Amino acid sequence: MNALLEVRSLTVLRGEDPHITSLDALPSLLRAGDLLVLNDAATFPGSISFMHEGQQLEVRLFEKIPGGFRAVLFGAGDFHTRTEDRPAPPRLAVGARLQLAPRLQAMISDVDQTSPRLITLNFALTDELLWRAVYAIGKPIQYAHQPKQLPLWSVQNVFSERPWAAETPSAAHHLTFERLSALEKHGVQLATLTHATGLSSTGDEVLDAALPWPERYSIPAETWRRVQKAERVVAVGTSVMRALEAMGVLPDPLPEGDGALSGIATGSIGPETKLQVVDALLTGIHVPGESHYRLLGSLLDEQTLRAATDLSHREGLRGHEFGDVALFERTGH
Amino acid sequence: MNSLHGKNVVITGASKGLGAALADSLSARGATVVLVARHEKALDEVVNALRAKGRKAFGIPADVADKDSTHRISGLAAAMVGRVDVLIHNASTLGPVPLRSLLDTECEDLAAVLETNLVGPFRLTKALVGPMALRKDGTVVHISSDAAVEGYANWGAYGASKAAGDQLHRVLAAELSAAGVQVINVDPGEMDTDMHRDALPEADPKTLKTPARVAESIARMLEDGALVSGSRVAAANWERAS
Repeated sequence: MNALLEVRSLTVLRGEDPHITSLDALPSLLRAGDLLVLNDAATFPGSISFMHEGQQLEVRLFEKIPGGFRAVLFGAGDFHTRTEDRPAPPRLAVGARLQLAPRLQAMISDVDQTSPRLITLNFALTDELLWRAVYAIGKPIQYAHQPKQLPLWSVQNVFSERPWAAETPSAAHHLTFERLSALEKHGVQLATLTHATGLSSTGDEVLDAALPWPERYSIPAETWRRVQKAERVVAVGTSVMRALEAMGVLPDPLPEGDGALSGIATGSIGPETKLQVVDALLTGIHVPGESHYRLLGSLLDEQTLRAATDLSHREGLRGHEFGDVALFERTGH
Repeated sequence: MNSLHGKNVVITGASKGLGAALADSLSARGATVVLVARHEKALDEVVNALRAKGRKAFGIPADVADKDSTHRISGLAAAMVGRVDVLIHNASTLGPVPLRSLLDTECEDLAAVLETNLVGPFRLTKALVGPMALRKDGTVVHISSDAAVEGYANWGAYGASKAAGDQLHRVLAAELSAAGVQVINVDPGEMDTDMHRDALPEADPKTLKTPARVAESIARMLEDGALVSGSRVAAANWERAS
């Protein structure tokens, strides 16, 4: 394979030192009986630019609710500017109307107490017509490190289905149909859940301090049964880890009518978290300072995590959503 | 597959002809249908007519030949119905009519026919079949034509696109055999549709089958548990003896 296309994995398995492998070696790093759990949320185009009282604003829809979306307002500019450097949007009050497109008007039905930029938008449309409008005018939410507008196809995984994700669950981005088939041939089982991954950054200090926000998830009863029987549970992505750990602390989860276990993941996972469900995590390359880096402390002790981070830095592993990956197995407990 | 009840079916080219008839036949059997078509007004009329009959139907205005529509279609379908169990590639174009011989066919017209009849369905398959493969359950139907097999004069662009479509789906069937996804090429036979009138204006409609009759055959075909993935079948095989 072309060295430029090869995806590398920063790998820490129990009892082994951090080392670097090719992602294509994943079947040999896992065992028959392991369960790989994937987030099958498709990414919807949640970024909408619009004019409001002579100003160019952007709204990022991040959570579908009955009749509308929860959203964050951004001031002038677009994703080319780092969110921290974007000017604040004007303060808008409950009842204000936003003309998002010639035929799409939203009304602000709630302004959050923590920040006036966190709003709820209501639309006088059926869900069917609202989704149609969002897909007609929205663009994928993205950040300044990607200089070109990402097309919608580029932020999906091969098994993406319901559009619950505002930002792409990127850990599975390199899991092609062939790589998944190779894992299955090796005896690794695959299962899915749906987790509504929200925003990763707003540039608003108050809002960013509270990340990750509560996010809804839905776990098919069959997936949960297999999680309980599996030798090792490997979460693909931090969103899967959040959903499984949220479900894992519930006393006696019972499926709803459609055979799925649903809930809201509220907690933040960090070094203090005693994991209930997840044995290993396949994720992107995260660096100190990111909220996802704190989460890694739940899997690896401080010394091992530092050694892995140093190795990743020395070898120049690529961060961000289309870069290299990390496979960390829980060391302690 | 056995019962269509409770299945979610995406049908392209569903605002008229065979596509609209399939939406009617399948929803009558308890399937939820997602109709895809270019013209929003015509599409919404068909969807509303189905709803007026108590059927579960949704509409997605989109052109399958437009690359940027691919994940809009898959995302909207999943937003409306959740999982997609059956994908029916019915939308297709003849290219410019009256039909012309290959030596008089513009290269760009051939490319446009391939875009609608071959590349567009390929892209939509990529977007919708991944979840089916992971679930080990799903069906893809490619509406083909006898022009894919016979060398009819003046049917070069359309016939080539349908022959390529048959082969694409035959290979897809082989690749997905372990993944439990069934892929079928169907020859619907000659039907009294706008497309048939465009191609052969002098044909007597009385000699042609109605789209409704062919749609019923295809619905029965989908319910037939003995259907073999990768096969190319004639809808007429499932015609009810009258």
